[in-house]
Amino acid sequence: MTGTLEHLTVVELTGPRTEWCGKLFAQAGARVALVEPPGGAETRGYAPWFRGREDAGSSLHFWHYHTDKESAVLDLAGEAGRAAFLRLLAEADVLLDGSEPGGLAALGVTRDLIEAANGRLVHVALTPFGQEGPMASWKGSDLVHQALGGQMMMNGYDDMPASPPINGQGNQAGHMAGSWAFIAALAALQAGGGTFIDLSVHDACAGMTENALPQYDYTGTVVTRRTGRHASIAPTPAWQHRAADGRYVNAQLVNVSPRAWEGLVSWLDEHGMAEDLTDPRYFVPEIFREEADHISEVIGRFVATKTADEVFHGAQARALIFSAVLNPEDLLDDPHLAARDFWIELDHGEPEGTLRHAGSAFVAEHSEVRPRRRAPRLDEHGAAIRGEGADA
Amino acid sequence: MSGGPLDGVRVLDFTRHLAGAGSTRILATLGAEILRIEWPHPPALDFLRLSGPHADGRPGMNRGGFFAQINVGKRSVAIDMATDAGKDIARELIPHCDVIAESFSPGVMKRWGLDYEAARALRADVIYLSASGFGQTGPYAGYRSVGPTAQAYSGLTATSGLPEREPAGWGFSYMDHMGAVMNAAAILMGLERRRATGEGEFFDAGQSQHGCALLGPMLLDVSLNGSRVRPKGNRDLYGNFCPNNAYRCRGEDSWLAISVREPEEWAALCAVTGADDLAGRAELATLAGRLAHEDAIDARIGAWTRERDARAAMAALQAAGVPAGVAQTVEDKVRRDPQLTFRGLYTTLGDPVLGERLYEDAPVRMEGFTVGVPGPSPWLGADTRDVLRDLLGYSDETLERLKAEAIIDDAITLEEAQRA
Repeated sequence: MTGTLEHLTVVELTGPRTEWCGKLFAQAGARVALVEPPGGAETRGYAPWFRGREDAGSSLHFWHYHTDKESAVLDLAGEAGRAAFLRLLAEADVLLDGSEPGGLAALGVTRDLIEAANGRLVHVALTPFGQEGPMASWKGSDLVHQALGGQMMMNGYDDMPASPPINGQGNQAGHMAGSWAFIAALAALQAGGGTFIDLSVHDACAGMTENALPQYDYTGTVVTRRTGRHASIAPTPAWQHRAADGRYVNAQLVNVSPRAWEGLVSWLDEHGMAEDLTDPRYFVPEIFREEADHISEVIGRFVATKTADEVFHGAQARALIFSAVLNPEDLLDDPHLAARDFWIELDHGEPEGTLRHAGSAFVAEHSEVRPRRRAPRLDEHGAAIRGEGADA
Repeated sequence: MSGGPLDGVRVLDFTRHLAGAGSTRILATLGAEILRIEWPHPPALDFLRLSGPHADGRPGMNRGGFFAQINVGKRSVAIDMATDAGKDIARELIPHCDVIAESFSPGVMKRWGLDYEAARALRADVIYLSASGFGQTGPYAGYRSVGPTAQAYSGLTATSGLPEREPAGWGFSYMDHMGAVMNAAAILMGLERRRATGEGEFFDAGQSQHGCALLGPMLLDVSLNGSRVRPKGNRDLYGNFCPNNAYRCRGEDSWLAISVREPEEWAALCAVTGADDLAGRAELATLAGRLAHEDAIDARIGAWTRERDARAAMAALQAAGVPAGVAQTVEDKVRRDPQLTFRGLYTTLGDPVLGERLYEDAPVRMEGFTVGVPGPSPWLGADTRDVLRDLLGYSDETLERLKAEAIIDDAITLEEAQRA
């Protein structure tokens, strides 16, 4: 099957901010030319490493984010590099530019030159804080952006005095911003391209804190973090419980239908652990709310006698929105992901051979969004991209 | 060229909650016309309409602040999808729409005769998104999911927290936001492919699977190295930054995040914090050297921040080129973040029922185009008459009859909107 976006050509200037957006294009079949500085992309030096090989060719960070891309080293500080870069842009649909504000222009690649090279180009500039403004020159990181964005202050422990707010792992600030860059670029193409998009990681993160803004705007109060569950204004019952196998279960009771409640109570009752939850008074919403802590404790005692997987599948069979708290390695043999072809094999050539990669989560009917090729070695496609050996 | 980039794109919107309706919100901020099909009772009720916070603390269909946040600039068409006549009207709308998006449980749209196969028979090049918790196929296809479910299943929850403690929990429905973002991305991929080929497309999106795909390099670490990834608090999971932590500052629950990778950042951190002794130790100039002494470095920085105002410390560090950011609450973002104010991330819209309220704008500026929150959220049924008259040519007589038969509804007066 053909790639969903196989008609597109994207030029990506390497950088930690643009790599996720570039991967979203590349896995959809777009040709993505990764322009690396002499010496290679910074993230070729990021851990984790492939089986302990701490060299620039073995970064799993780089491998993950650059599947399907082509690599060319271009020295944009030099005239030949700039000329090759502009030639590349002339045939591209999108430029993913993760340089600092004014960074490209300082190298002599001005917006005038770029627009002269290709008037239909969608130039996506993805910076930490935007092109202009009082903090435009500031530096970010995944942690710094999740702090300023408000994610961290909603995540942590209220049963542990003076404990810090906690960030989410896996480069999520980059994912939030990079996904928006992908959306913005595709939207611009619908209108014929030919635009400059100013997108900041800070804006993207700041707009993703669920109900915190309405709560503040309507009630004047600020949500605070709660162990294992949503930040909230007032204390809420625990919904994360430890199972018999030491793993945890997310057992959130929101919008529980009468049918789901009956299923839950009869399930507990089968094991003699329903306690007083069989009392029909719990069908009264006010009672359900008033007794939320007690209900949570009864469920916690039940979960403690089962494995996390038993609770996960038993609860879902009863129309409850529970899940086991899986560790990343649990996904490797997860039957659902296997049935949906989440994991794929990519050929790395010698000596690595064929290796198991994560595919994409996009499932389409008439086209395909999935990685097909390992990340490029440094300058693997450089000669062709620079036009060496050709008339150019 | 002052409109949005998606001007002219029309979406028939059966999405609900944040993970679904958040995706059509994104399209609305880019200029698409969104026709929300909804009804005050199940099955076409969006329960988010009843969620708090509420204007004046009083619940009502048009009084919910969270619903309003997620449904800015959409149009509301009230059709009772439990009736055959209602389903017929929805089918009549399909030829007029570029995109159909839905987030019901798998099987609902098929039972209504509105699944992709039925829709493409009415409009061959339609882009159709089915968004659910675990997708339309696979052993967990019938499983239910909200944000925390998807986060727990995907490994995002397990990897966020303090070492040796239970997972911190993320604290909000990250995967509702990112589910919405990925669903909007899917629709746009479909539109882009249609632009190139003229063909339609169907996307089967599972919120939980999108969570798995967002684990980043952890995915290859477990698959190729056999690693067991466990939380390390705020330290970088793979040691690419050190120091990298949240440090307590003066005042109540005040924290500053600091990340250092480059030698010059480390030197600047030492200079600003007065750690001349650390700056002089050659082994700490490298990342590997600092990782070997991370506890001691964290203790030194923490002792410095503990005596300082978080914002002053942030400004001093950033002025010297050190990545640093205060852990902000929503109040901090609205009132004390000069960059968000400069960028205009928060915009104010008025609505006669809700009053003047704050809305998060799209984080995108696109030269030559208008991108952003287009207007307030619709009262339930506010656009029923206009849409059915303009797109389907329904006469006033037909509209009155359908309303009398409770097939459609509207909310054309403020009094009706207040009461709903």
